[in-house]
Amino acid sequence: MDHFDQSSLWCCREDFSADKSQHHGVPTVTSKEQMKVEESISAYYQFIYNKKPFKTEDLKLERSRHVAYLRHGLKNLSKSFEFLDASRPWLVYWCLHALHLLEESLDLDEQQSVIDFLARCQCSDGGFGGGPGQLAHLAPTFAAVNALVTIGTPAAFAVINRQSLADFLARMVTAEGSFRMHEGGEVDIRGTYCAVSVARLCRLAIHPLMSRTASWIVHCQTYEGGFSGSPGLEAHGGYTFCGLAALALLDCQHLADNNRLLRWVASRQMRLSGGFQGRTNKLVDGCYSFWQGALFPLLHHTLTSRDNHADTDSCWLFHCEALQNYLLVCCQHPSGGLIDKPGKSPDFYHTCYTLSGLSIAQHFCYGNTSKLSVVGHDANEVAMTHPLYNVGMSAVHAAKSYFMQQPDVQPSVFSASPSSATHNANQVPSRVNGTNNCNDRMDASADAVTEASQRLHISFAQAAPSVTPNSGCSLRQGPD
Amino acid sequence: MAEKIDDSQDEVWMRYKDRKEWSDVVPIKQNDGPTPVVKIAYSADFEDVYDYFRAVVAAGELSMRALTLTEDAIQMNAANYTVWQYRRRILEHLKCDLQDELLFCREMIEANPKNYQVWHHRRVIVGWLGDGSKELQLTKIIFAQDAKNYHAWEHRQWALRTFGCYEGELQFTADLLREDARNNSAWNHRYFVLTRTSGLTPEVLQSELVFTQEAIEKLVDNESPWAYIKGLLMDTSGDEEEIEKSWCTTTAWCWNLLAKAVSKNTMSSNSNDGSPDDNGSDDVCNFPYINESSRNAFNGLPTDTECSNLIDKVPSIAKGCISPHLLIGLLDCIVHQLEKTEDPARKETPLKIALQVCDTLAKQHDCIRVRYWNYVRRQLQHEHRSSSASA
Repeated sequence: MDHFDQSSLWCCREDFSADKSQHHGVPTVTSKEQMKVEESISAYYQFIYNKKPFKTEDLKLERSRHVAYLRHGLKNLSKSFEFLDASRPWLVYWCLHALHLLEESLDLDEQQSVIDFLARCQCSDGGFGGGPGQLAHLAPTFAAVNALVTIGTPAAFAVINRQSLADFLARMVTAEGSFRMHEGGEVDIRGTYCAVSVARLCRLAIHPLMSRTASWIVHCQTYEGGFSGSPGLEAHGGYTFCGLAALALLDCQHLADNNRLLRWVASRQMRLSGGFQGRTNKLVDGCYSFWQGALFPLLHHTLTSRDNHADTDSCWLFHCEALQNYLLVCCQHPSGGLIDKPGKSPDFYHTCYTLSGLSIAQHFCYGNTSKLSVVGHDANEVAMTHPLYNVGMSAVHAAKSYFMQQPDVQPSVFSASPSSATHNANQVPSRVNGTNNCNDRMDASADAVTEASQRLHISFAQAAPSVTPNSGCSLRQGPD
Repeated sequence: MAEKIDDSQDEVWMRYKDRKEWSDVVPIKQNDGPTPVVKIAYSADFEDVYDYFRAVVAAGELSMRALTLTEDAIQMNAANYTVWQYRRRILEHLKCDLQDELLFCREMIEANPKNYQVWHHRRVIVGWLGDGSKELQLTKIIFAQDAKNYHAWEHRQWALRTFGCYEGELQFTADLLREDARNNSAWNHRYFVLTRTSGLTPEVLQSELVFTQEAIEKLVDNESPWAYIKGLLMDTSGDEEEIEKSWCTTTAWCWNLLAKAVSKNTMSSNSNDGSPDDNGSDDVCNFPYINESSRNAFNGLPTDTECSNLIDKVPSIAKGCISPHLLIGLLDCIVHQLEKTEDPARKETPLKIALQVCDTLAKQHDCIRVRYWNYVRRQLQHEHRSSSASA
């Protein structure tokens, strides 16, 4: 079909202008900034609207430009990246995952270079640092594990020292169940998500290490419905993803107020642009396409397992087409790479998370139903991402089946003191009858997003026995 | 001796490899391996500082000169948590003057207000000093540039929790909200302060409702106070009867706001019909869960017919002329009413109204959330229709 009906595009709806923000007689910093951004977005949308006749080809994901941008970044970065010198595994992950989404593969030499570099970032006492020789930190640990899983070869998986990783996690856990980012570092919900995510992906035993974690996370849900970085703070997209994904991975999503959360996240989609904001009354930003967008698959699971009313449309409960519209029209930089909003420069973080959000918006996949809805050119389809880990769906399965063959791993300190499990069970919030039930059911439903991963969980029950605990590991930040 | 002139700052910068006092140290290069990826083209100065930093760490040197070195390394990349952590080890070991450190820290915060490491370092140092007296002022300086800076809010809440100096804090949020009533961080902080000081006692709940309703009346299309008011009413820590009464007054207040909005937008057609002060109809108000005494506690409560008449007019109001937040706030009140009502016959009208509100949000006033509002509609039908149909 050469011509298609423009009015079916979110940016070309006839009553577009009625969705513009107004000062309503009270101009403030917030409304001024909001209207400025809407003005630049409107200019882009108006351009599409005025373009007649309109062809589907006109709304195109500039795949080759983005691939070139990412391939270059994966190799060489300018001096201006010195400020990310403590986040190099992140740079690797952002580039690799974005390339994967664009269905671009690395040759064997490129894979080997990445594997070799990430191995140099791994610390002898567990976890990965921001670069060779840096202290282990949960964020680059998450990034390195995800990057290696994205490569998905036995050589890549074998880099991860699971025993020392488990020991590192055990050193970072706090008495209240949250996680410190690094030795002597800050505590917030990012650390908690990173810890839970790598533990689940690498199939480390998380019990009793994380027996208090879910109840700590629940304290981060605010009156608005989203989650904050730590209890008391404001609901925020990135932290909400961390909170809900970690709860889901711990099979404790029912501890959250999912209805209030759904209201909050649905309300973060911007009326005019179709993109997501991170917090109430803040500006749209392409990266929240993933942080907010990925909450919908997770919520879909909980809300539909309760009843059948959520999935009648075979669609997530946000405007997937409007989001794709925003990303394709406003977030592609002409020289390659994707951006936060018009006027910004591209970076690898935004390239990764805008494409991840695009993936969520295109692929509905729940139970036995999967539906593809691609806005614009047919070739705009990107690969499907896993909404809990944000690595390719197939990569998650490959990792799990690989680690299933490996010996069971417990943090040394916990395997030596099983009594801490019973002690921790007293810390569950009054809203549930024991979090330990959660953890027991975890393998059965954490990845209910796909049937295939469930099969993997079942066979995991017959996995090999534990490895002998290392000696000499001390618990500096233990749950006592 | 090679000296490098920094063009931008006109300052003489001598590399560590050229400094006499460092001649005893052998710098350690970063080992990126034979086939590096994400290889950063470091400036020579950056490489020099970090080569010496690696050497100092490898030797475990906790000295004054190492402290200065960490400062240079931080200036070059304030996000290097390894350097900050090592710096703390040195500060502890040398028992340095922490007041100086506070000054350095403040400079770094002002230069990098969105960096995790600078704020964390500040908290560690302030914790060591046991004196949080400068912290509220520091965050105020940052809020002057960005009143929504997440790190600054986190720091402020940490200081309040740690040192408990909550006096004036409620006023502080009120001041920020007077500047910008759309500042959601300030609303959130207000909730934080109340729930950690007085708690939502009946008096506090009342005054907060007044405060928030006034804010909404000034600017109806502001999502923040709407979320806040719902937060107050959903809080389960307070007196249940008091909260129920507040739901009622809020519901009546919402209907009045809607009546105003409707009459403003339908002035030309029919100005009187359907507004709550129109007492032409003789049906009763349908708030079955309030007792008579609280029913008399407020006036202006519309009857079911009046409510229906008002809602019927909403779809004819042009998009953008009525705040979706008002409709959503009203919907929340009606849903609460439905949940508190057991008699199926008394559910009929509120359910019909709630479904109508979902419809008009989905189709006209909040189209971006069409799937969400259709979902809410189905949920309501599922939860309440069965009981209402069996009547």
